[in-house]
Formats: sequence, structure tokens, C-alpha cells
Amino acid sequence: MIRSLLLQSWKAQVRSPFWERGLVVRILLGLLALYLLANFLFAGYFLDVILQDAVPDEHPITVLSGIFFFTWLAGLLFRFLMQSFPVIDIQPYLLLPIKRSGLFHYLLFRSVFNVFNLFPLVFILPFTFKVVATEYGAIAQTAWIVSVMCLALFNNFVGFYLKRQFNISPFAIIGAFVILGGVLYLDLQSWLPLSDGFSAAFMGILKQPALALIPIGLVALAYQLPLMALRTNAYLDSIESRQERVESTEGIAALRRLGLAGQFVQMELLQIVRNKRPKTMLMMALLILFYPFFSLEYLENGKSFSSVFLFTLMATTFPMATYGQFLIAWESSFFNMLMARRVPLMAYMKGKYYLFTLFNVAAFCVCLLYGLADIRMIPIVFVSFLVNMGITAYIILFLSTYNTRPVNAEKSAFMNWEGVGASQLLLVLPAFFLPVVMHLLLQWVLGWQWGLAVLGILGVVGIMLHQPIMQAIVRQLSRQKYLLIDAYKKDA
Amino acid sequence: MIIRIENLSKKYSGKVALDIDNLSIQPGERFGLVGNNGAGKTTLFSLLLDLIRPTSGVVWSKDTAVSDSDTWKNYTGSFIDESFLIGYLTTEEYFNFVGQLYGKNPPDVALFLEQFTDFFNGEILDSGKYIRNMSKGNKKKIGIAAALLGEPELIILDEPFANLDPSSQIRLKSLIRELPPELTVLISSHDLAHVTEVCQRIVLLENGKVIRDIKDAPERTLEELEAYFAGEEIS
Repeated sequence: MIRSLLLQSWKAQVRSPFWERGLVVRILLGLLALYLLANFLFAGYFLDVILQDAVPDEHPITVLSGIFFFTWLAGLLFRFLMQSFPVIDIQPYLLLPIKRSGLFHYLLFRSVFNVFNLFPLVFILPFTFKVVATEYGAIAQTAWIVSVMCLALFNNFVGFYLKRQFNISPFAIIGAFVILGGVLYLDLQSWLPLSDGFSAAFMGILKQPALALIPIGLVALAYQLPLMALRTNAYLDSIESRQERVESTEGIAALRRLGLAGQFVQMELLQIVRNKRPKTMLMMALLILFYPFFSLEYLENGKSFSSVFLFTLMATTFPMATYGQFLIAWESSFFNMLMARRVPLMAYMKGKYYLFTLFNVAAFCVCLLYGLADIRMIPIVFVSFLVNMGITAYIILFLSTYNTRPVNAEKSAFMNWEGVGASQLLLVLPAFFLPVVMHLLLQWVLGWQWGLAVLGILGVVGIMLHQPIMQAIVRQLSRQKYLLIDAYKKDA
Repeated sequence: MIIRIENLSKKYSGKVALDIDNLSIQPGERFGLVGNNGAGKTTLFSLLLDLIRPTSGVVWSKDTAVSDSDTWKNYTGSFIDESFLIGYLTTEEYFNFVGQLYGKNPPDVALFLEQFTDFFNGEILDSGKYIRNMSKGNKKKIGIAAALLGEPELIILDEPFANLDPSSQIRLKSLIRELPPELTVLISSHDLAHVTEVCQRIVLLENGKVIRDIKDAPERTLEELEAYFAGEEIS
């Protein structure tokens, strides 16, 4: 029975709309996957050399065993954040005369076939052949591999359980990072020698392969956790009814003063707050704001101002670019309404521009703090702001009308390729690199200060030409209207 | 005439979805569109709302082509399907948003919604849910009420009776009957009994063509339609 279920889920994978995308994207994705795999194999093959280099006084196996503790902890956290356990997939089967427990075992069994569980295997396999097998023999090697895989599977099942029981709140994630950091710190200070314990345990397994039964037993125990959780609430209502009462908002008074465009900004803000994908995408954009930090040293040794500018521009453009790549597609589920009711397209697009203004002002204020580290950052941040407002924002607004793939904003942002197409990947590039290329050219001719100044002036010109540029964008949107309506209808 | 259609056709990769030579709708008319699946009902409504482009022909709304100007949006309310609802809003937020499009502030909107108290049956307002988490029937009710926001002169409703429970269907019928007489109402439906009850004019579509155009004969309409859909021909 589990076999036929697995076959069906295999079909679901093979026939998923994921594959119905352009050949170029498929090739790109395939190359990316191959590249990652090759990287891991390569790193795995030279793991002993790397470890020997890093910690010369200890045996590579001991060092690696100690590291397992950290990868194990971090792995659990990453699974909690990124791995998806599609419990909803069994909904259609719950009605059929199939034993419930069979379905649960199937769900858990299927969760094993996951990239997260494949990675460690690919990583350690070359190492075990090169080092472990030659020193301890094949039986010990097998036991060792099994134990390492047990770590991954343990994480798999515990991750399944945690994900099922708890909704991820940003505070929980921050809390988890803090706890993880604390444990790592304690370990590094040797106040809580957990990694040494791990190391000793794995060395023990090499000497006495039968000890590998202990991690196997632990995995069996971990398996019970999600199984129990599924048994107690695999009813449809318990999947759906985990919603709390929501209250309507009155809206932000200041935005009302902007008229209808302000109303649209408000809608965008609600869209971000109440949907998983844009929310997480923008939270990731916050992390990018630390980017220019790494460029400060370029500034110190006085060369390559363009790369400092590139870093700063990346950081300040990123919120706009990451949200803007689906700017209109976010609204794909109700785009018909926007086109059939009295929605002035100008106010609609201006709302998006004002939203970008909010993003940019926020990024500007944060990045201004880099001025404390180096006063020369202030003009760079300022020019980045002007370029974003006067050039990049318009480019993104304009290009968003070409993204004809619908997007479901409610889904998770991690590993989500929905709405991502080759055209759109290529179209985001000019938003990032056009200003930098321009600066490189200008720097070459005029020197970096003047180059920056000219870019800033171009930004100001763009801001002053707001009205005509917006009119051109609105004309573009009304040209693309039918195409977008049709595209959003198809896959929705 | 509020709507005039001339030589309108829509083809999808060569296949005719709609082909209407001439059709006019008078102000205040209650216009029912019936037909089997794929007969072209939604295609016609989408063309009226300028959501798709005709292969040939023009839709005139008050003597302006709908594809040329947006003025028709000022007096046209519509609800086709869930793509007219904004899932991440609560009902109140949605109504206020639509109200704002027509220059109404939240108190105006609340006043407007009072006429729907029966129809909403206490499940729509102050529900503590986002629209995306509501049932199909309740979503439909929200869409219908929102179509009437902003004092439209023309409303277009695709399958308003589908997914509604019996009480709501009856309430919707009386709601439509009580609409101001000068309001033009366009309804499509699979339910012959409902549509003949609220519409004086019934247009029957088949394979994109107007097969019947029944005006001012409410007592015989239902019989005639039932006979038609049963595959019988009556003279």
C-alpha cells in the first residue's frame, strides 16, 4: 500500500507545474543543482586534507566527529525553518478505506527522501572510503555511516514533530538562534563539552561497530514523536481550525492623507504583514542591510569605491527588488477585481511607488549608521537613496508588468520557485547592476566623487520627472492588462 | 441603451467561444443569461468588463466602447468569481476598500451594508476571519454586496445563486427584486427557476450563439427553457 502511495506522490512530483517552465530555467536549475552536488562531493573528498590543515594536532576523524555536534544542532534549526512536511497531502486519502496508521507511516517514510537527508551522505561518503575504511575496515565504516545518517534522520523526525506542533513565530526563531549560539559558546569555552562527547561516541562506534545500534534506537524513538502527533490530530478540522480571531484595522491615518494611493500603500502593507512569503522575503532583506559592513575595509585602503557603492546599493535596493520582483503578481489572485472596478491605475501604481519610498527611507536611515564607521559612507548612502528613488524604483515598476506568472503569497518563501521565470530573473538584473555599471564608467572618466555626483543628479532628475515617468508606466500597464489577466487566470 | 453589442466574437485558438451579432440591453432591464457549461456566459461577461479582448466587434456601454475608456467603471458593479475578492483582508476592510474606490468613507459603507443584514445572516460582518478563510457561499455574498457598492447603474453577476444555501438563495432573490427599478441587472445562472423568477428577459446561449431571446413572457419562460435543456423542441 505504501508503495502505491509513494508511486502516486512520485507522479505528483513529476507532473507538477514546477516542470512546466521554460527550458532555460530548467537548464539553469539543473546546472545549479549539479554545481551544488559537485561542490559537496569535492569538499567531501578533500575533507581529510581540510581537517588536517585546520586542526593539525588531532586526527581528522576525531575532529569531524566533534563537528557533527554543531551540524546536528544547526541542521535541526534549518529543518525547522526550511524543510516542508506536507501533511496536507494525505487529505484526499483520509476518505478512502486505507488504514490511518498506514498513511502516517507513509508520510513519515516519505519525509526521509529529502535533500536535507541526502546532503550529509554525499558529504561523508568520499571521506569514509578515503579515511575511515582504510583505518578501521568496512564494518566500522558501515556502522559509522549508519550513525551519521541516524543523526540526520533523528533531525528529520524531530523537525517534523516540531513543525507540526508549533507555528513559527519570528520570536521563536530568534530565540532558537540565541539558544543555539549560547550552547555553541558554552561548548567552545569547554564549560559544556558536548562536542567532545559526540566525538568520543563516534570514535567508540568505530572501535565497537555494534554500538551503532544506539543511534538507530534513538531514531526509532524520534519516529514515535511525529507518529503520536499525527495520531492525535490528523483530522481535517484540526488541520484547518488553528486560526485565531482576527480584527479589522482602521488603517493608518497618515496614509489616508495621500488619497487613494495611500489606500493602496495600506493594502500593500497588509499584504506583507498577513502573507507568509512577502513577510519572510522582507525579513531576509533586513539581513542584507548588514552587507555594506563588509565593504568598509575597501573604503579604508582607499581603492575600489565602486565596490563599496555596489555593496551599499545592493543593501538599499534589496527590499525593493525582492518585493518588487512580484510587484503585480502578488495581486494575481484578485487582479480581475482591480481591472473591472473603479481602480485608477495611476493611484494603483503610485501606491507601489510610495511603498518603495517607505522601504528606501527605512533602508537609508539604517545605512546612514555606516557613517559612524566611516564618514565617507554618508554620500554613498545618500546617492544610493537618490538612485533608488529616481532610477531603480521606476525600472522595477516598469518591469513588474512583464512578470506574467501568478504567485500565491500565502505559501512559504523558502525554496519557493513559484512565479520565478527566466524572463523575470533576467529582468531583475538591470535594476541591480545598471547604476553600478554607470558608476564604473563615470568613475573611469571623472573619478569616483564626480561619478557619484552625476549618479545622484540623475536620481534627482528621475524624482523630478515623477509624473511623466509614472504616466509611461501606467500606459505600459494598460497595454499589458489583458496579458496579465489571462496569465493569472491560467494557473490560479 | 446601456449596453450595445455589435458583431462581437471571441475565438480561442480558432475555436469560437462567443459570436453575437447584435444585442442591446435597456436601462432597468433584468437580464438573465442561461446556457450549459462552455456556452459562453462568462466569456460574454468578461467582454462586458473588458477583462478579455474581443476577436472582433465592440461592446458599447452608454455609447462608449468599454475598451477605449474607463468611464463605464464609474457606474458598473460586478462580481464574476473569487478573483474579485482580496483574500488577506477582513470583510470590513474589503468593503471599506471598495467603498473608497467610489468615494465612500467607512460610515457610509456601514450604512450601505445595513440592507444586507438578512442576506448576510450574521456570518459575514465582524466574523474575525480573513476572506480567504471563509466558505464559498459567504465569499459569494461578500462579492454580491460589494458589486452593489457605489450606486451602480449596471451590475453584472456571474452565477450569483451557486454555492448559496436555500435560505440565502431566497433572500438573494428578494434582494434583487427590491433593487431600484432603474438599475440594470445582468445575471448568469444554471438554475432556471431562480433566474426566470428575477429576470423578465432571458437570453439563451449555446456554443457562443444566442439561441433564444425571450422577453416579457414570464409565465411560459420556465417551461420553454426546461423543454429546451431536456433536449425537446417546442414550437
